[in-house]
Amino acid sequence: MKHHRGGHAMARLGGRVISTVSHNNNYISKRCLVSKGQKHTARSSDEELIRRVQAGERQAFDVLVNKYQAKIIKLVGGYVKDPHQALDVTQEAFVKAYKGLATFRGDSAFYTWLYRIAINTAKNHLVAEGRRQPDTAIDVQDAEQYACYHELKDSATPEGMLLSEEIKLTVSSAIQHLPEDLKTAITLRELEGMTYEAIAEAMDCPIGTVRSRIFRAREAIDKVLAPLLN
Amino acid sequence: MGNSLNEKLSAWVDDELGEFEMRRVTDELVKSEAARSRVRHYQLIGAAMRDEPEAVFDQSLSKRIMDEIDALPEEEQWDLAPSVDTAGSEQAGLEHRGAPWLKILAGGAIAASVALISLTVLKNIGSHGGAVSPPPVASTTPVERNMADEQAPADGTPVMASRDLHAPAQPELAQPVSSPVVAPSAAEPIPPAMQGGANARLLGGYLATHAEHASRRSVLPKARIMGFDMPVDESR
Repeated sequence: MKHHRGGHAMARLGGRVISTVSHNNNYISKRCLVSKGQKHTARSSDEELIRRVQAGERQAFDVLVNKYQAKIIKLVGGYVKDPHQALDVTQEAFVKAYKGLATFRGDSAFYTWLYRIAINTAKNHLVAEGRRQPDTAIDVQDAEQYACYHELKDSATPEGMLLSEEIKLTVSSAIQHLPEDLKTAITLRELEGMTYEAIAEAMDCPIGTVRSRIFRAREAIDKVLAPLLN
Repeated sequence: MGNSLNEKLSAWVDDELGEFEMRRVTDELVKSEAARSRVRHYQLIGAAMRDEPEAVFDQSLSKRIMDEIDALPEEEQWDLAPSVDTAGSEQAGLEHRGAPWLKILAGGAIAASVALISLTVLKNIGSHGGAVSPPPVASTTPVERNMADEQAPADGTPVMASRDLHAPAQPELAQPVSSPVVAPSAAEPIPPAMQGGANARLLGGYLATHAEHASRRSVLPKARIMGFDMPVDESR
């Protein structure tokens, strides 16, 4: 398997190319491979966390923040170009969500609800800044796949870029040293967005093995990355 | 943290846990900062592989968010029940235990203020002769009318309130009114001019003189008013 940063990721199993994706300019997440059961688990996981926040466990909200902050940053980045302002708007959106959780009844998925709060907060920020809102609205289903973060990149700060570039280089280097099966499993998961079930089918192994391989790949990468983050 | 838990955390990041495992891992995540930190690292690896923007790599965002939430004023915090698991969240629950009482007290204070303001305003309107204040010599309420009825002469002469003169179809005004007598309210003193015949005549004379001299440029100077009799119940 070859993995080119900023170019193409190619997963090769026994000489057979099973996927090719360009993830720099037009990365398309294959979330269609997410099974209904997986979506159900994600939703029930959110429901459990929300229930716990409503029961008074604020740390449960921290888990929700960790889970969705990257998606919300990218979403807000479609409206607010400056990375620092995008982070501020993201923070404001999460605080608003926390305040509103008391009345959240779960009629829609938590992310759908959070998405709406984030979009409204970003639009209000633009109005306050005296700038025009984007003409095109981003559909909630497309939010995860929307490549609005490229605009965030254009105005990234040098020190921020330095850190993120260092992280990316470290991760890329660590992936290169992974055993082939771990490399394939983590690539199919992170770049293709495939479910464990689909990966198991592609790699012709049990789902438990896929889960273990992905975990071991992450652990190996984290071992290299941790000193940088700490 | 053992490898077993870390493997579950890795699967949690991918939403690949069953219902039972998911609950256990969620419980661990809520309780343990170390578990949350590991999840952040796993997510960061994915973000780095997908070449995501630098803002996504901000590791302090969640801390800033939680700090802001902790710093929210009491009234902006919603009612949190006491926690059962972690010391931190238990503290949060304790901090908010007084919130329901505060809400009830605040609600009661607001209701009392509104009631007080309403009473004051209504009282002021009443004392300044507004729409609800009674005319000086008229009985306006049914109770007062009843009291006036009780004071009516026994010969059947209708006694009515002056305001009732303009009422189109009052049941008690079924009989034609020939000489209306203004019945003062029982609560109000009878004017001295109406207390006796001599006084009434004095008042009539004064009114006639006044009308004669005050209206020189109109029709009245052409006609001489000889008197201004006012029917007064002499028996009173």
